[in-house]
Amino acid sequence: MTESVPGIWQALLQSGEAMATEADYEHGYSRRLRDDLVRMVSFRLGSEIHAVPIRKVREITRCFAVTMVPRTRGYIRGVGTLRGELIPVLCLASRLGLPAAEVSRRSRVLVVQIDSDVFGLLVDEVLDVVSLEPESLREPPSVLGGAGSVSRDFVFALARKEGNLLIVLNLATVVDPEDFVAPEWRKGPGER
Amino acid sequence: MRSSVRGVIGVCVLDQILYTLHMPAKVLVVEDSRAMREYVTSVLEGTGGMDFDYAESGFHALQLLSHVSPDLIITDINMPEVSGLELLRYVRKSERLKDVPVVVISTDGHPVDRERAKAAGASIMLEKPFDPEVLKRAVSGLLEGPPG
Amino acid sequence: MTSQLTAISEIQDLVEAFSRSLLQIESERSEGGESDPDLVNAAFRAVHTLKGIASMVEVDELVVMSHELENCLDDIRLGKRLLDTASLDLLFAAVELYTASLAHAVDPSRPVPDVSSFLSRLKETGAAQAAPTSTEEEVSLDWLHEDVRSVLTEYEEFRLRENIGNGKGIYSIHVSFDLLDVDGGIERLKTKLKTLGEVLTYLPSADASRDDRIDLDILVGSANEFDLLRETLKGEAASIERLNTGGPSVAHEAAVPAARARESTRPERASAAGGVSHQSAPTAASARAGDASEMTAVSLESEQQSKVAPSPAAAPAPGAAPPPQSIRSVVQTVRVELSRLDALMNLVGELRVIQGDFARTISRAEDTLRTVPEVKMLHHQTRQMARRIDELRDRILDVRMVPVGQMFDTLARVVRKLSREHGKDVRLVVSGEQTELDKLIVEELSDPLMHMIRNAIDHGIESVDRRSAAGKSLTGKITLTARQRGNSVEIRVEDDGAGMDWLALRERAVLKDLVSQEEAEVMTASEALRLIFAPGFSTLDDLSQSSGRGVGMDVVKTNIMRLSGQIDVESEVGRGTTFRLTLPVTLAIIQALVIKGGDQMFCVPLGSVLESLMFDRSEIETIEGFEVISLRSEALPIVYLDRIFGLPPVSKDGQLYVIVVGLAEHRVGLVVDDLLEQKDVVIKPLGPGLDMVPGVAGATEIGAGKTVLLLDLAAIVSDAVRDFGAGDRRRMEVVRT
Repeated sequence: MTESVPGIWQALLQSGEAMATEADYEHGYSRRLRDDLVRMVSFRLGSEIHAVPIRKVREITRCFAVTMVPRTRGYIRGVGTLRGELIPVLCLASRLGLPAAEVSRRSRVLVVQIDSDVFGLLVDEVLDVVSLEPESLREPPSVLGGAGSVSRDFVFALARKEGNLLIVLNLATVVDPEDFVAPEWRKGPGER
Repeated sequence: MRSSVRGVIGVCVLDQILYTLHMPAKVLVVEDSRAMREYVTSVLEGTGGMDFDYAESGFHALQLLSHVSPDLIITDINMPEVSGLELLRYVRKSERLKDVPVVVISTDGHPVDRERAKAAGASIMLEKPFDPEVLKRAVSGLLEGPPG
Repeated sequence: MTSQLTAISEIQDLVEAFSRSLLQIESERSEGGESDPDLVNAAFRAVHTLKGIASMVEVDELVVMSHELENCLDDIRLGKRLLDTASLDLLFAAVELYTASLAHAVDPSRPVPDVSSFLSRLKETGAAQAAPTSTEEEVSLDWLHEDVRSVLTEYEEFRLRENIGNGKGIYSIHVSFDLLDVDGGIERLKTKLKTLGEVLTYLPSADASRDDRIDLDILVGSANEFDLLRETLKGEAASIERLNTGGPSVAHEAAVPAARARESTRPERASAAGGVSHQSAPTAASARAGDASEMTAVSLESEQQSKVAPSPAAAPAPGAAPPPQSIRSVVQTVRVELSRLDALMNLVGELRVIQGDFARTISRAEDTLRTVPEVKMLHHQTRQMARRIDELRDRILDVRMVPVGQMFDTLARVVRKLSREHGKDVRLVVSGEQTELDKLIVEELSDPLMHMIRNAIDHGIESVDRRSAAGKSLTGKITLTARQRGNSVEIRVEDDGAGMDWLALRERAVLKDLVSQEEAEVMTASEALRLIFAPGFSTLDDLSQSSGRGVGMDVVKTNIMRLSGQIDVESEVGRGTTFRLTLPVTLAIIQALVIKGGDQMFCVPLGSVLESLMFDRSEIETIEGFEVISLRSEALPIVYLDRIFGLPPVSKDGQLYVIVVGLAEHRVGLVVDDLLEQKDVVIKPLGPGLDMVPGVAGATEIGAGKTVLLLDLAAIVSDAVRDFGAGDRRRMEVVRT
């Protein structure tokens, strides 16, 4: 059975864009809220901190049982049922080329929605909801090193938050249904 | 579409509220074509203050009429078994229903049937395809009724 | 406004009803029987209603066409025009035109059908006929109560006169039905009356004293004796009276027995305008003044408002009438999109899952709280709940079910059209039209069936000359049979044509390099016949008289397999060919066998499992590099589920389970670790990406949040068959069944 993380995460997810930021607290509420801030859910994969736009995240749940689907790529953990809905679950770390995640007490599944399709992304720990000024986002350098060891294709931008490097992922390339089936089992066009 | 969920429980509740507020006119639409039923409803719904019952054959109309006294009946003329004419005759003969205005809808052609409907006491005859405005005017005229 | 979709789909229904009436008319004609006026009237009514709808949604070509067609049918039903073969052909052509017009209305890129040439043909055919046969001089209807006569439609009056003209007796049958049983009662009575003669009209009589009953006077024209009528209607609580005595002018007031007779206020006008020369002389029942004169007919042109007379004091005030809300909306059918039913079905599936969890929790509680009586009750209650949920599921499934008859009607038209085109005389005999299948399956099935029938006419049924030379009846026969067999439906397409020569098929396969000479030589007849399902066996460009039957049969097979169905063929030279399709009744929910393979649970559609067996490992033989087991002295090739999915093998001593799966003509044994249980499951698609995994068709939730994959046996079997056929051998099949 599945169980949602109660409390703050759900509240944050439902609160919309008008959420006050840390800057607002510093300056008091008299300041007009910026409405162009990009809100992200940040989470940990191994030692790296990654983020995805909050409007893509439908919910955050504890891990739920998944069934392995044969003939798929290694990062596909399988398919699970969340309130009657079938959801493919990906191990985000292995998808990004990092060591595969071990499920722990802190592990969570980000349920993301891309167009009308829903996918689950297994992460090691959900950290925060952060608001980023668009101007603070940086193009990733052509060769990523140091804090990031993720292929550039998957990275949308880099940002700094309280001294930490935040890797903002490009969900469109990270979650690619065309790539789910193991290469040897892919059908050519016109087959099936 | 609103007409298709009529009679469903959820709508009944709303209906009851409307009843107590406005006492809408009860209109019985007798027509064996669903599309025509929906059309008639959609034309009249805009004018408001009406509540619709439907019968898809003359027999069903009879079943309904034994329990319901509508304020207006709109009936197709050409239906199998109990035709609009026969239904009209029944209504006009019933003590309870005889004063209910009846709009009879026909298609072009069949002048004999139309004449008979008039003779049998149709309040208004309409020919398909009719101008929605004409139906609206006719119905609201009939519902207001004669003074007193 | 009315949705275009509702209108179009209703028009579609009406076209089907129209076509059905035509087919019935034609079959009556071919049997030489007296044609049933109700059929022509039904055809007329379909077109009439269609015209009304089309004019509303402003599909002009449908309106124009329906208008002319309606006039033509009106003339036919009123005896002003003959229904000859040419007219019937035209009416059938109208069905095709309607279909094309609808296609165009839905998708404007489809060709615009040529309505105008049809209309001119319709006119020509009408003109070519002899001037309207002025039938017998007006039969007097004076004896019929004016009150009845004045509300007969033109058609009803015509039928009445026809019956009298033909020397039939006219009877009035008074019946009274319980309000809640009207539908059933009428149907029952109608069936009986049909055997006696023609029902002319139903006149409801207003009898205010009984709110819970509906009284009707039914006018029937019958050549039968009064006594026979009384005998037939025994037990119906009906009273019968004869209104005429074979001839006209027998006055009989009893035509309006139930209610006080009311004179029409202006009989003169009705008769004058109607052009019907009955006399408007008042009948015995004198007008009750004050009752009728309050009715006012108002014509729209005068813009007058209707004068509704004030209610007499006796009448209940509107609204004060006590309407028990028992039967408020009596609309009997609704159209529902399949997706909505799917949503309901998913919910029911989830309900069952929750119920299962609930039941398990309770049985755990039972272990520890054995003494608490409520726990036992809970246990009982969940079982009841489970039954109700099952019932709910069945009801929803019922809603999806449609009789195959509608599809058969379409096929009957195809037969008619094609046999004309080929100059062959072919009769389609159908049975089991009432057999029901899931709507989705019926839709997917019509193309394959159409194809098989086309093949049967193109290549199966011989020309008249050949049939005559062979001493066969000149009319070829195609039999289409549907019947339910447990959880599946069997459909047979049978023709009495030339049949297929399996030896020729075999040669052809060698020629096309599909099998080697040696392999062909050991092929049995049934194996050779199944060659027609092989891709590339037969194509349009190399049709030949002897073996052209297989055209497109590979596509047919694929489509049937997609529906989890099977197809088999039998044929005998000179005697004909039979295709037998077996299909599951429904797809939305399936009965599944839950199995275990490579330490993981899977389910397989039970419908595709022919049998399941336990085997000893030592029984496996290897033939030409492939593992087989011997099943009833046939070699059954086996594949291992864990191996094909790359799952860790579970070591098992000696015993292994094999499920024998059949899809189309193939049989393969699938080796699994264990057979767990059999249950109904709601299958859901795996969604983008995972739906591309070969061998997996979907998934379902079993018990506490456990997701179980559904195997795509079609893919697994076809992979297996391909592997067996791989290499140099190029053999189509190693399986003999």
